[in-house]
Amino acid sequence: MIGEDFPAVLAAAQQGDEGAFTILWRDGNPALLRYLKVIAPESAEDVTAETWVTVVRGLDRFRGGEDAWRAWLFTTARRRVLDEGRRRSRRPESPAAEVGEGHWPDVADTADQVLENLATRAAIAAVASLPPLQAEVIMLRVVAGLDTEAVAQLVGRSPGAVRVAVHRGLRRLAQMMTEAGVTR
Amino acid sequence: MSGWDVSDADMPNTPGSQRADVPELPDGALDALLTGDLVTDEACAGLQPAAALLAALNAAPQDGELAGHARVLAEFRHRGGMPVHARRSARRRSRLLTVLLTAKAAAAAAAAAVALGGVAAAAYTSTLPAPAQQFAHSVIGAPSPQSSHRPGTPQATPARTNAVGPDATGPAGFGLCTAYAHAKVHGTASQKAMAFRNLAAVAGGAAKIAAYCAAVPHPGSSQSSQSAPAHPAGRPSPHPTGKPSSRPTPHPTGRPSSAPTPHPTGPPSSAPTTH
Repeated sequence: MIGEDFPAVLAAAQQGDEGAFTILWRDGNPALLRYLKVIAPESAEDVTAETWVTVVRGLDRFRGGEDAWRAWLFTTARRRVLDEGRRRSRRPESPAAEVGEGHWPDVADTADQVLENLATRAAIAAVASLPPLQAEVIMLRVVAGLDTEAVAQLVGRSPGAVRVAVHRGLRRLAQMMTEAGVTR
Repeated sequence: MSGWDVSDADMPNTPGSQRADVPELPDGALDALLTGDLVTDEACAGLQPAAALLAALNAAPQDGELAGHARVLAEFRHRGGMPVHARRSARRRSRLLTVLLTAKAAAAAAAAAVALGGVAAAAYTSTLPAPAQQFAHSVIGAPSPQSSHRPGTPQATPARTNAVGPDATGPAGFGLCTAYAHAKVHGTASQKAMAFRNLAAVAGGAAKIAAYCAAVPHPGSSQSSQSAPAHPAGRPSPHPTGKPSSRPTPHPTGRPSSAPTPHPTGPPSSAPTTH
């Protein structure tokens, strides 16, 4: 998130300032990539690049605050995935298969160490193992930083359905974490 | 079922239809998990173990996640439809920028100077001492040897953690002046324009560039130099005198040899926009 400087940064970027645009890109690109690794892992990098092409071309016409900006960014990415049928067709067999050896915390670790050792990659893989709707709404809420209303609009569900999906997904993730801590 | 293609009949929008086992999660509970607070809601207490995983999801950018900057910047440069007034009133814009942009935006301006590519960037990187190089690393996201990222650390974008920003009168300022000096001699028109613009933004106006650069100290020296020399090391002249028979080597244009392709795959015309 850029925060209170966002309007100034956006205005400068719209006037062609590359430094300002770089701020927008640095803020948005990692989140975009992580989101796409969950919903379209095989083409995440390509879709990310294509999303920025679209965003750059529409930049001058964009009006709104940072929330609207993020919603636009992720809506654009999502449409590219859906339009071209690149959405993941099945979920991974098990999160552990994607995470690989050595990424899960040891049982002896304290909570703090778990926090430090748990790689982002492992976390993304864990979310990707959830049912698709749960995985996507969690990424949109947590990584994209969108509120429930925005997420509901983006995925075409009711806010209530989004809150339920988030809850279900988080319960499963909490369960995974607990099991990982107990069984290793 | 495939999962992704759940039809509306399978998962209707009507609230309450799928709450047999799990209630709606209050937004506050997720916020608490994200900020590391304890979830106080009894029904959600079991979610606490997920907090570490959510923190990892939001960890600071990692290697590879800030790759592709040159490509997107090339796209940005070549976009059409830049407002006419923006081109016309460069002075007004730099004044605007000076007012609007905080120190961290100035950091990005330095990043743009680094991203000039070709001669300017090479000069920038080869001229600057370690601290400024480190700064460039942190701004443009190049992998830095000693900043081994801690994966579990709750997210903070570098732009934000760099709240202090570059000392515009220090190494970063020197880098901007150096990049500008090089672009002036060797750069293409657009490189010149950009280096000029970045510098004007930091200097506080186009008219103040000369004075600004004169006041910027060389990072390696403790005192201000009179001006920021483009070639502090006193390189040999590229045009040797006294050898009229041999043609002097052509002036390098400074254009980056590996220009990023401005148009990645995918038909742009079919790109959906929300506007």
